[in-house]
Amino acid sequence: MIQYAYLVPLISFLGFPLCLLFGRRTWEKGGGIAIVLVGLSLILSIPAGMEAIEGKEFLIKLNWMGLVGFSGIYVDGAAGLMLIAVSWVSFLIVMFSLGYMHEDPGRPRYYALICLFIGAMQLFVISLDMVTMFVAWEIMGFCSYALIGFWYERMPAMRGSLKAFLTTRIGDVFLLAAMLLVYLNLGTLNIVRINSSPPQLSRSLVTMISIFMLIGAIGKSSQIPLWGWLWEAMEGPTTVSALIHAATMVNAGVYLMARMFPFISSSNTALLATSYVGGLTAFLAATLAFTEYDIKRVLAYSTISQLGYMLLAIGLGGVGRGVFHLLSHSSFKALLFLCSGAVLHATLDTRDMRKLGGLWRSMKLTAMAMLVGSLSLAGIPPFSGFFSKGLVIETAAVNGDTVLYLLAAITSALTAFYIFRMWFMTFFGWRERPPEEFHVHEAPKIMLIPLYALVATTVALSFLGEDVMVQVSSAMGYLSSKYSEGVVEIGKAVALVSRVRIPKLLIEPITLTLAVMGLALATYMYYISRPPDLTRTFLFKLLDEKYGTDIFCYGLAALFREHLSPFMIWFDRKIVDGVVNALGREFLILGDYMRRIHTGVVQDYVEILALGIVLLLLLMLL
Amino acid sequence: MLHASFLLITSVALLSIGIYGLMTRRNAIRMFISSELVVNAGILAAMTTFIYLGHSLPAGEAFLLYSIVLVAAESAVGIALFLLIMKLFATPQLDEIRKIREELS
Repeated sequence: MIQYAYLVPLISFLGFPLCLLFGRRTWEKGGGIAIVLVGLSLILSIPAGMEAIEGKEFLIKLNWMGLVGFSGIYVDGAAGLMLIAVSWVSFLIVMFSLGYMHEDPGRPRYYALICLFIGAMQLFVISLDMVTMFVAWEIMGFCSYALIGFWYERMPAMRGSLKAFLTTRIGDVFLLAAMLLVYLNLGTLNIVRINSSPPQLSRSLVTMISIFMLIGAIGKSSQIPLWGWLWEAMEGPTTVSALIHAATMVNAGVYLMARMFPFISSSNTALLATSYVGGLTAFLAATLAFTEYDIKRVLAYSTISQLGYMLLAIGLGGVGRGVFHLLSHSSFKALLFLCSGAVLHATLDTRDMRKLGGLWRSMKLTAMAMLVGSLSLAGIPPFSGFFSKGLVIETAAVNGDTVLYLLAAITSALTAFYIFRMWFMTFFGWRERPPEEFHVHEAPKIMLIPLYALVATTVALSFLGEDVMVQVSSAMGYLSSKYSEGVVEIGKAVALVSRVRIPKLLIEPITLTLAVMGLALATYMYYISRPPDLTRTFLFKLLDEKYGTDIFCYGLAALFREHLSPFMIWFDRKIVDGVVNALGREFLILGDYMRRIHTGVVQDYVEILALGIVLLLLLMLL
Repeated sequence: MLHASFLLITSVALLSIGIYGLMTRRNAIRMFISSELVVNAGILAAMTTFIYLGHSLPAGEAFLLYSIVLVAAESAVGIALFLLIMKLFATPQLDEIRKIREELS
């Protein structure tokens, strides 16, 4: 089946024209088409992916505009795993959409874009070379823009979509620069060849390319400092947020780093940068969630924070562990988002958790599903988050320095705190029952089925834990046998500040204790007693302003707007337009003179003709 | 066989007469006939060169035959035009027609 893997993205892509053309006339205005096609691609991806995981490889090079070697499909273990995960989560999200988007008039557009989005991620995962990767990457950027701004008549949605597009664009430019540098120096963009080539290049060049790739991943995966777009992306439909956070888009950045790891790993600077960006983002994004009252934004910060964990692991050599966390994160984050979607569906899109609360009685099934997701995110056994995050933190402890370990460990306590703050505020929140005007009701079946399928996935992943880890690691092993254990000894090469000295046996209990402490504090503050009002404190304001990153970005934009733009406008109007206008004016004046000889009298023309003959004769005689 | 210069001189004479006619006459039919003279002068000159430059291929003759047919067709169109002009303005004098046009505009 693996030889049909290229059909998986193609089938999903097919949904784009079909939904646009025939969406209006079919069931659920395109929902039927979308679920059938995404379901088909899922059915196809499972056997293909399983064969890849078992060790088969499949490679096609396609002829693209007469250029061979610029596009192709490459399915190996890692790609197979990702393909199954992406298709599975996407399928459940599309299914959930059938209920969630039931009343929206723009459904054909919605399902068309969703299909394109899913297809792009599937293509990204199995692409052989950076050109295909980049094309899929850009399609995802466009789709996220169009879907975040799906309700384009709402001002915040429009702003959010533009911000997402422009911010990720910065990363894209750097990725493109990395591609060009690779092509100039190696003459190929084939990932497998790039990964085996670092010894040919000078150290500084490898560092530069790797850093550029890292910036691309930072933009896509919303890390510091390009993280501003992800929480504004919450203005789109919740299913879109789920898709962006769990199956597509943000995972692409991490996957890029994992895919390119053998190349990047020959530059210690880039590895160190990756791990520090990841560690810092994990910590800072988790703190941002403390002051947030928007239920979806809390989840957005948690995504940023978890993506930080993945980059931390990858930067420290734990590629398999990073990808495993990616997989488990995508299942429980899809679960959390879909639960929040069910909540919003029941409460007329009320995202402010202060207005929610007391939903427990009427939405027990959703609340239980969300509890599973929250426990998994918080890293409480026996859910998948516990294992995957535990492995990441172990990587930080074994390979990282003290700072990175502390960041990773403290973040796990913060995570448990903010996610349970959210859970308690939404479903309890000192309110017996929600306000009457909401007409709260349990989600319909078509939405509950995906929720519980994801609960099952989350639980199943935790039981598969070790197995999947080994599979992922060996799948990544194609890169180079020395990374097959998932953890590289880079501690010797990188000038770490200080190694962590914790016995290996103690790492997991410490993480667990921290998580439980966070959970207990959240329970105490938001369930047993009321939290003190901290809105006036400096720390609250600092967090509410997202450490000023938005102010900084807008300030930078204002700087350009007020100082650079006037000059550019002057240049454009006076110099560029001026030259063109002056030319036109001169020709007009010339034309004014020239048209005087056009009298419309045939005799005049003949006279000129005769004059010409005479002149010719004179010339010949002379 | 005639001498080439004789034919060429004839051609130049035709051209001169044609141009003279075009420049001095105001009657549309006369001008039209003069322009026919100009065209025929051209055809004659071309034919002369084709023959006396010694091209054995019949391409030159075919080409000239083609132009003669074209000129005939064109003169048919021209005569149709003059008929229309006569119907509209009731005069073949072009300067008078121009005056009418200027008055109208």
